[in-house]
Amino acid sequence: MDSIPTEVLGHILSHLDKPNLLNASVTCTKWQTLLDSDLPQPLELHITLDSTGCNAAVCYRTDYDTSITICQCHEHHSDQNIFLRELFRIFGDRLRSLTIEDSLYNMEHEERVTDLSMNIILRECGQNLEEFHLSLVDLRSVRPWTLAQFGKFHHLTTISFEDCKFPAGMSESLLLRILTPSFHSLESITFTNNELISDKFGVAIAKKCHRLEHFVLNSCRRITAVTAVAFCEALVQQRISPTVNLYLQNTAFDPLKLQQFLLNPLLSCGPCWIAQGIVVNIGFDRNALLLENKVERSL
Amino acid sequence: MATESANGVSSPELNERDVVITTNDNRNFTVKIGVARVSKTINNMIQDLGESLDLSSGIPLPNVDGPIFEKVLEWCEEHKNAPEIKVEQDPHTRERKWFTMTEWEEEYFRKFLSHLWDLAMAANYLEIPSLYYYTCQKLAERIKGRTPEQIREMFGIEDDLTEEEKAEIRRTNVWCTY
Repeated sequence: MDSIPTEVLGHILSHLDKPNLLNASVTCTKWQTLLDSDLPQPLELHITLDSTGCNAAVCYRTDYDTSITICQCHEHHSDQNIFLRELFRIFGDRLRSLTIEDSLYNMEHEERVTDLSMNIILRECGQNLEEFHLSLVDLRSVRPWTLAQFGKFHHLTTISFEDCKFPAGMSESLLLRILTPSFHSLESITFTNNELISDKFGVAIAKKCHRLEHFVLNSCRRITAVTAVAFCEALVQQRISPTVNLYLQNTAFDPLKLQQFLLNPLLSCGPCWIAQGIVVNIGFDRNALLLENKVERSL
Repeated sequence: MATESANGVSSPELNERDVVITTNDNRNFTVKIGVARVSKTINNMIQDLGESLDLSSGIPLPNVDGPIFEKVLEWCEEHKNAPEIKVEQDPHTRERKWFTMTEWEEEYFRKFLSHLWDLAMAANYLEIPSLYYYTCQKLAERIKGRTPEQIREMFGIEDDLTEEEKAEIRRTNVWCTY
């Protein structure tokens, strides 16, 4: 293999399209150096965790979007972590969006994303991420301090933890702290089906995230009307985004409670909200509550 | 024939004459000039020597061994009258356009699948564009759609990355292992 002239190798590799180039470049250092300048620089990466294939490979790509599938089984673990690391090194700080989707649940024995993989992902993915999505990821094997690396992102606009499970040591305050650097830029926050999230989190977000437009807390059972009230209060104060869409399906949210709170004379913004039940059509009809501020803003 | 030359050695009769080519394992091949000059390297040698060429003394090829040259000759025989091929790029994606191979060529590569690297290098040295481009494409085809691990396995590439990286990953992760 060493005897192959660079010229010949270069010619061969020039046949390959972008995803194949990525795969080829992580085979060994010689190929990597050779391909360095030709490698694509995607802006979005989609990582699927799946143990049915056990092949780390870049499988699909457009100019902006790349997706890879890796497994978490013991045998391939370190190899795939290296693969991930190399990929991130190639992508560098250009990456804007990262999605991690967990398909490990189908396996007979329970498998979770490991601390090491998560650590590599968070450490190597560059600091300029604007969107971070986690879907169905079971983070119970991941140390809270690994997740704390979220704190390195300063420009996140969208963060979503859909049906994710957090590790035992994780607390709301830690979660808030690691998101703090991005509070000024966050526009969309999603935490669904989460046991950890309570009004404490909701209230803090309401107070701090002035650009927020979408706050999805569906199936977070510890969320009550307090979060909505906090947004009412916050909206009266300085806000850049004029409306906030709160999604509170399947939570402990109670409209009557909200009404009580809003009529409470102790409410710092004063009784300036009018509630109105409306029906929003999102493919099917859904009851919604439109809160209008006597001044001008609505929720 | 594509190789009409100025100094007059390229006549049809000459193409029918034999030339002896010696590979680096001292094997002699008696080849028709018309076939041998599919290789630009050999063609240049023949032209440089011009009329003084002593066809029986042999042209030495220090970089090619007998078994591979045999295979190359097979290709040359088939392609002695083939027009020069051009490498094209897709104007939109700027990715290379792949050549379509004839049945004979597909069969040829199937036969010598395990010698693709040697063929590519020999074709590169002998300057046989058709063989060179096609072999490279064939190799690229084998890389395509494979995972890094499979590529390593197939070409016997040593995974130097992994060892080095493994060590580094272990080093940089010390903080979270206690």
